[in-house]
Amino acid sequence: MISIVGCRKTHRGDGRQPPVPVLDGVDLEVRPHEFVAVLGPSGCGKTTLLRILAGLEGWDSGEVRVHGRPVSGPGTDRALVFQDFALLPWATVTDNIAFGLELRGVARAERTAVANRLIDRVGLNGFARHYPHQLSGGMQQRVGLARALAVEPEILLLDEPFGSLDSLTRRGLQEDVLRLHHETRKTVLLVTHSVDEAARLGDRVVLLGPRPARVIETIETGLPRPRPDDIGSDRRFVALKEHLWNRLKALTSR
Amino acid sequence: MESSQGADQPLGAAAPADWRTSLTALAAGAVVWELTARLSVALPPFSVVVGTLIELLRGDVLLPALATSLASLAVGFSCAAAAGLTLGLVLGRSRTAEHLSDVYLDAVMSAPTLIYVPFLFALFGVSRASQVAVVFAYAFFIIVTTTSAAVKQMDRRLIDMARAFGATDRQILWRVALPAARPMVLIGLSLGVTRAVKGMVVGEMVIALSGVGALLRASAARFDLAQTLALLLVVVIVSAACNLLVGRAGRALIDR
Ligand SMILES: Nc1ncnc2c1ncn2[C@@H]1O[C@H](COP(=O)(O)OP(=O)(O)O)[C@@H](O)[C@H]1O
Ligand SMILES: [Mg+2]
Repeated sequence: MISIVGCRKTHRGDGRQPPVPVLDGVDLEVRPHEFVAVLGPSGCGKTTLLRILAGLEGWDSGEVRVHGRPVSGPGTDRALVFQDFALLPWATVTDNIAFGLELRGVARAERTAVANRLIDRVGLNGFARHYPHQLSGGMQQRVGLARALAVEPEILLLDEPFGSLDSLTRRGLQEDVLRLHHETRKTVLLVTHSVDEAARLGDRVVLLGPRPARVIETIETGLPRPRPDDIGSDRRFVALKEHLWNRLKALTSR
Repeated sequence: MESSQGADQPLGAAAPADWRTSLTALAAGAVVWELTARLSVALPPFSVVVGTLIELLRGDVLLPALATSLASLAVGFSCAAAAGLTLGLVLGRSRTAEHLSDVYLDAVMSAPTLIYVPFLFALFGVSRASQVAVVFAYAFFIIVTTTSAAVKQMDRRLIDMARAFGATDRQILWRVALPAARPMVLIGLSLGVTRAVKGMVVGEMVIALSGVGALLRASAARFDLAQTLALLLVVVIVSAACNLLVGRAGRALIDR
C-alpha cells in the first residue's frame, strides 16, 4: 500500500541557511489495513516524511510509492491530520469538516449530511455551528480527524495529532482512533515522538534515529486487536515500551 | 463557504456600529460648532451651514454636479479596487514580483498624490478620463499594499492543508487566501475609497472644474464659507456612505 525505499531528502535552506539533510535512506512498508506507528525523536524528519507521502513536497532520491505508483502530488486516497490542527478559523465545524468535499464540488446538502454523520462519530454533537476558536484543543483535533475521514481516504496520515493535548484528552482521542481503525479497517500511518503512543496504537512500531533519519528497528508489537483498555498493564506492552525507551535513549544520548 | 451572520463570527466581523454613540458624538459636535461660531465671526454656525445645504439641494446646481462627481468616483474606484486587489494578490504571493516592485511602490506612496495630477491632466486632457484617472491614482496604491501585506502575513499552513486536500490554485485563492486576507483587505478598500473621494474632489478642483469640486472651489474663491462648509459636509457624507457600501460589497465578494 505504502512503499518507501531508500528515501533521501535534504531541505535546501533558502539563501543564508545551510541545507539540512533530514531523511537518510528511509525504508518503510505499510500493508493494507495496517496501523504503523513511526517513532522518532523531535526534529528527526517525521513531518517531512509524512509531507512527502501526502504529496506536499518532493524527495531527492529513492522511491516513494502508494498503491505501487510513485507519489506525484496530493491524492484522494490519502488524508493528512495535522499536528497543529490547521482548521479554517473563519469556518464553522461543519464547514471545516466538509472542506475536502467542498473542494471536490460535492453539493452543499450532501456535504452537510456527511459532516453531520462525522460530527456524531467523533463526538462533537451540538458544536456544528461553532468556530474553531470556541473549541478546546481536543475538540479541534476531532474536527481535524473528521475532516480527514470525510473524504473517505484509504490511508490516514497522522502527524503527532495528539502531541499538543493534555494527557487525559490525548488518551480519549487515542482510544477513538483505535476504535475507528478497528471499525473502518483504514490503513493508518502515525508519526509520534511518544513511546507510549507508538506502543499503544501501532501494529508495528518503526523506530527512526535522530536527524538525518533512517530506520533503526521495526517491531511487530504482537499486541491484541482490538486493544483492551487496560493494555497499560499488559506485560508485553510494558516490555515493549521499556525496549523502545532504551533504544531511543541510546540513540539520542550520542 | 457561506458567511454566517452569527454573533460569534470571529474574523473581520466589524462590530455593528453603535448608532446611539455615533449620533451623540455628532450632535455634540454640532452644538460645539454652533457655539464656537456664535462667539466668532469667521466660522458660519452649523445651523446656517445646514440651511445653505438645504438650499443647495433644492437648487439645480448641486445634484447634477454630485451626479458627475459620483460617476467619476464609481468608475475610478471600481477600476482601482479591481486592479489593486489583483496586483496586491500577485505581489503578495510572489517574492520576486514583490522585490521588483517594492522600491517603486514605496516611492509612489511617499510622494504626495497631488504630484501626479498634472501628469494625468497632460495625459488625458480636460476630460472625464482624467477625473477617473485621478480617483484611480488616489485609491490604487493603498489597496495594492494592504492586499499584498494581507496575503504575505497569511498562515502558510492553511495553504498546505488545502493543497493536501486537493485544492487547485484557484480554490486556494478563493477559499483560503482571500478569506484569510479578508480583514486587512477590507481595511485597504475602506482606506482606498476614502482616498478616492479625496481624489475626486482634488481632481475636480484642480483640473476638470466640474462636479462638487468645482462648486467647492468657486465658493471658496468667493469666500462663501457657509457654502464651502455645506459642500464639505456633502463630501463627508459621500465618503461615509461609500465606506459603508464598500464594506458590504467587499464582504459579499470575498464570502461568495
Ligand atoms: N522547509 C524546511 N526548510 C528547512 N529546514 C526544514 C524545513 N522543514 C523542516 N526543516 C528541518 O528539518 C528537520 C526535520 O523537521 P521535521 O520533519 O519537521 O521533524 P519532526 O516532525 O520529526 O519534528 C528539522 O531540523 C527542521 O528544522
Ligand atoms: Mg513534526
